[in-house]
This record gives sequence, structure tokens and C-alpha cells, in this order.
Amino acid sequence: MLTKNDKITTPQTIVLIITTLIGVWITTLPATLAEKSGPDSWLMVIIGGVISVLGAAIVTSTGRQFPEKTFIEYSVETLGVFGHLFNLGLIIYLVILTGMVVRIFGEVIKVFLLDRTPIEVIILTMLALCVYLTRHGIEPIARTAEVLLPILMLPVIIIYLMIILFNGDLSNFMPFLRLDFKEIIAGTKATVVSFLGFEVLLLFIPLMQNPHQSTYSSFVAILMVSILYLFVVVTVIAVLGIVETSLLIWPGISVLRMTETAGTVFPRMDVVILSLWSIAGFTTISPMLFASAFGISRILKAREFKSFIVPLVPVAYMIAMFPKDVLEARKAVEAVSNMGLFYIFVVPLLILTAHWIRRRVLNR
Amino acid sequence: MKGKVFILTVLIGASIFFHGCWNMMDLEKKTFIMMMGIDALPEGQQDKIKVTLTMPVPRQLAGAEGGGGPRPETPQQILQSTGNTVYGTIRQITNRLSRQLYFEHMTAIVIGEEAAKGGLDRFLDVFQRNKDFLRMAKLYICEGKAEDVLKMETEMEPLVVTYINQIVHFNSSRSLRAINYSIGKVITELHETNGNSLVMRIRPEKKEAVVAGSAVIKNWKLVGWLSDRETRGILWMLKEINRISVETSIELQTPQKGLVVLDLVNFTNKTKAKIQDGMPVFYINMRGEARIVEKEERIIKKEENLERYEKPIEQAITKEINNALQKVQDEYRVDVVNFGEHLRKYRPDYWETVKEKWDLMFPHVKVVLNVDVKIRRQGIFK
Repeated sequence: MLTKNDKITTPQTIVLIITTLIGVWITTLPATLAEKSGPDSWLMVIIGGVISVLGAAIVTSTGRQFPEKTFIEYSVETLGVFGHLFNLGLIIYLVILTGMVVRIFGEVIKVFLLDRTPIEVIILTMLALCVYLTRHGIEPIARTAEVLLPILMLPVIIIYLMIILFNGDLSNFMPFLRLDFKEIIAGTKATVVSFLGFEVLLLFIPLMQNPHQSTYSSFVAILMVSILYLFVVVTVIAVLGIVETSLLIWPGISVLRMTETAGTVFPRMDVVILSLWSIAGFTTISPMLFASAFGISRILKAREFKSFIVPLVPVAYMIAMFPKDVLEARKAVEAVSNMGLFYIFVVPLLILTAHWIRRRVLNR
Repeated sequence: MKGKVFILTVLIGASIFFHGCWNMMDLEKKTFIMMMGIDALPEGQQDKIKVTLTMPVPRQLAGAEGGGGPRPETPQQILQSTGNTVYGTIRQITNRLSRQLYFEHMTAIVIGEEAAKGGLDRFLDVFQRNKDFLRMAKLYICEGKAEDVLKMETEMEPLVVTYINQIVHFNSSRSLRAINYSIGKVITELHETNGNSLVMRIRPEKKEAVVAGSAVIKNWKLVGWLSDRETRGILWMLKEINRISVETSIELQTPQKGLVVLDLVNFTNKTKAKIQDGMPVFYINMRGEARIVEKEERIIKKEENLERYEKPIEQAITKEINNALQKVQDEYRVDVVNFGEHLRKYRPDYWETVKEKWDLMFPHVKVVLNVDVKIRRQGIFK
């Protein structure tokens, strides 16, 4: 369906959200979960997925009230001056998240593939590639996602399936359900953080051909991503065990380097996953970069968003280079993610309430 | 037109200048390390280690495999140096080398007896921290010096590393006398139990090596050995046996005169822990099949009653397991049979109370074995 009005269809929206969500967290999520909630990690993925669906429902049902407008406009319309503040915060959040994602992407490439290339080069190359794509608007981004999604998903599923079939030990998930409330909160939060990215929907709803199908498409997308995350977490912990998983920095990739039985058929499968890694990073960073530039253009009421993309690159680059090591970058991501949760659960509800009050109380 | 010329120029220019070969490394500039040995130095220098590496000499290797003509010189070259740490010593070796060391094909690591007695923790970190080292490489602990294994002149295979890794490959699935743990598996095991595991044992001789039995690691240190029979006793109880279809033979003294040899296949085990008077009791149920491969009996019966061998074989397995258990419980006092892990998984409440003193409790744990073997086949002869 080659439309030229720069709008995306419902299937395209689903694919776009899936590829935005599947990003750099897939390799670190098992470690975070194993550390925080032990053998019940798989349960945390499910709870986290449900909570993300809830968040997506809030975000999209707010957006559907204003099918022609983005968050930038309707926040001002309903909340007045606070709307401007929230708009600024959203842009800052998106740019910081872009920077952090590109940093984690670069760290993995540097550790596993290009150990003598400066990380600056890796990050800038990636950003330059994303600029090239995002300058053409939302539709090419969505169509790229359509092309890349099967290339990304199929090998991941096949490879991890082989590993769990040959080396997995599901008794690593015993004892079952021995968590206190605190651990559930910590584990769930870790999962929800790895689902962050669908708040681009705050801005993308008017770009859809059918804005009223946005809730449906985000549900489908989050369901697919939850299944994939669950699969990867179960595989990694079943093969490595809780203790070893929590000790590794990138367990999702390390697990591919230590399994042997499947390796006799295809030795060194980590190479495949690492090449997919660039795709996963690319399809996550592009929509975020686009969302930031698009948001800025809407704030400034500019007709074009293109001119705002290139100035964002040095900003994102500087943010990416700010943490001094990987662990600090991961901590920074956790801090930023609080802001994401705020924009998913709190701000849309505020807007909905304000909108309801304006319509029902003031207009009467 | 002008635009097209410009794009063409850019493309050609890019393909000349940006083809990404600026730090290309020719294959012949690299040397592929196949095997590493780590030894402790004798008295007086105990905090230092000696690292031995082997690299293949491709020219000799080609000759050795081609056959015909006199056998060439040994197809592998030995590199050695001493130092304080593993990686530091490897870097010292590069001082005398015209090529770059490349470790991603290293599939065997041998640690000498004395070095292992001083503790494995100081050697293993480098293999888990750097991605250059394969975690699926095999880890061996050697009786005597590790360098003897690397310097061995094997006759079956041109390279020592293929020779010993192939032994393990067949041994672990055919006769079940070696514990097939890669270095990644050993590290995982050591982390889970805080320093207790079994590692493959290797004993070098002049032209061949024996890979059988295992080294017992307690609190990251080598404390002793298990013989090949005892290792098999432990392997019956470990979960690994569920997954691979193992095959092993056992000799039986029959009620009549003479021995019977049986092959055991398709063994599965189920472990259950019950708490009695504050102490755990492990009930291990094992089932399997067997087939007769050799009989010394002279009497040939037309109607063979296969069941009469079942009782003795069950007793033989029980005895083997009990011997092995006795050794790890009474002599080494170390839980290498994953009983602690079983309690952690299936009796978590109880485990919380005994976690701290498990090392002291393990020697007194009772095990109730129930072995059930069915003899299905007797070969192609009555």
C-alpha cells in the first residue's frame, strides 16, 4: 500500500511499535530480572506486559479524544501553561532516551564486535543513518520496520529455541512464587522500563490513517513484544541459571557463546544475533529521533520537521557520551525511565480529567 | 546529468577510501592458539604461574594428515612464559612472537595439580570476563603438570587438543566415566554453589592421555580426585544423565559361574527430598534399560530368563553410587551432587534455615536409592 500522504496504516503502526519496543533491552533484561526477582522472573515479564498494556490504553484513549492533534497541542489546550511545561519535558525525555539507547547500542557493538573502533564513531554512524531515514517522514520509517521485522524476529526465535531445547533446564525457575511485595515492584518496574518506547504514540496518533484503532494496534504490539521478551528471559535463565545470569552484563548474548550442543550444528551463533543487534538498534532509535524532531516542530508551529533532525544529533550524541561506563548508563536509563512512566500513567490521566472538566463543567 | 556524475564520483571515492580494511589482519599474521596450560611454579615462587600455549604449525599439519612419506616434525609449537597473572603472562609471550595471538579457537584449558590446589578463582576470571575466550572450551585438571599434556606427542591425532577433546566426546556418551563440563559450565556451577564442583581429570602419559575420573573442587580449591568408577557413581545421580542418552557397560558376577557384561541405556532419575527429624533424606529413583553384550557362562540355554540378571545389576549400580557418595560425604565432605541446589529449588523454606551450615550437614545426609533396570535385549545370539 504505497500511500503518499505520510500517514501510516494500522498494520504499519503495529509493526512500528513492535520494532520500537524491541531494542537494546532484550540483552540486559534477563540480568536485571534475575538480580531483582530471581526464579520468578518470567512472571515479572507477564505482569510488566499487562501493566504496559494498561499504560498504552491510557495513552491511546487520551489521544483518541483528539484524533487530529498531537500531545503537544492538546496538552496546551487542556492544561494551559502546564501544557507547555509538559511538552518541553516530553521532548527532553525523548532526546535523553534516544541518547541512552544509542549509547547502550554502541557499548555492545564495541565490546563484542569492534573493540578497537572508538565508540564515538559507532554512535555517530548510527545517528547519521537514523537521520537519513527520519528525514523522509513517518511512512518510510514504518515501511522500513515492515521489511526489517521478519529479518529481526525469525532468527532470534529460531536460535533461542535451539538453545533452550538442547541446553535448557526449567528447574532453574524453582522455587515458585517466593517474592515479597518489594521484589515484585522492582521486577515489574524493570520489565516496564524495557517496554518503554510506546509513548511515541503520544505524538503519532494523528499520523495514523485510523486514529481510533490506535489502542488495538498498541495492544497487539505489546502482546507480541511480551511474548518475545518472555521467551528470551526464559531461555537465558533456563540455560545459565539465576546466579550466573545476574552476574553477566549482557546475558542475552553471552548465552550464545557458551552453549555447545546446538553449536555443533551452527557454531558461534552470537555473530548472527550481533548483526541483528544493529537492526534492533536502528529501528528503535529512528522512531525516537523522529518523535523528538516532530514534537519540536509542533511546539514551534513549524511546517516542516526536517530541519530539526540534524540539530538534535549533537545533543543526542553528547547525552550518549555523558555516562562514564556501562553500569552508569544503565543507572541513568533507570532514572530517565521514571520520567517515561510519568508520561504514560500520570500526564494522560491529568489531561483526560482536565478535558472532562472543561467539556462537562465549564461549557454548560 | 551533473548530479549523476557527482553521485558516481562520491560512490567511487567512497569505495576506494572507506572499504573498511584499514586495520585488516591477514590470516597468516595471526596464530590460532589451540590449548592453554596453567601450572604453578615450584617452592619459593608460589605466587607466580607458568602459562603454556600450543599453536599448530599448518605446514606440518598438512603433511601429517596427508599420509605417505615419513612423519614430519611435531605439528604443534609450544609457547611458554612465567608471570603473575594469566593474561599478563600471555602478553609476555607476545614479546617473542611475530604474530598476533588469537584465542577464539582455543577449545581446551588444562590446569596443573599444584596450581589447582592453590585455588581456581584466580585463573578462571579471565575466561569469563573476556569475550575472546570461548566459554564452551573444555576445562581439565591434570594429575601432575599441565605442560606435560600440551607437550605430549600423540599418535592418533596430529594435535593434542583434538585428541583429548575427542576422548571426552566419546567417553561421556559411551562409557560415562568422565564428566563433560565446559569451562562455562564449571564457572556456572562454582558460582551457584560458591566454589564446589567437579572438573574433568586428565592423566598424561608419554604418547597418550587418560581422560577419566574427576577432580573435586571444594571452596575453589582442588581437594582430591574421584576415580572413573566413582565419577560414574556421581554421574548416575546428576541431572545431566536425563538429557543425553548415555550408554555404559557394567560387569556382573552371575549366580552361576562367570561374568556378564551389560550395556545400560536410557537412564532417567528422579530425586525427591523429604525432611525427617530436621535432616533431609533424598529418595532417588532410577530407571533404565539394559542389554547383554557378553556372557562368560558356558551353558547355552534355549529359553533364557533375562530377568534373573535384573536384581544383580540393580545391586551393582546401588553399590557403585554408594561408594561414590561415601567418598564425597566422608572423605571430601563436599556437595558436588547438587543436593543443596535441590533443596534450594524444591524445599526453599527448609533451605533458608540450613543454608549457612550446609557444608557441615551434607556428610550426614541420608540417601535412599531405588534402582529399577529392565533387561530388554540380549544381542543376536541366544
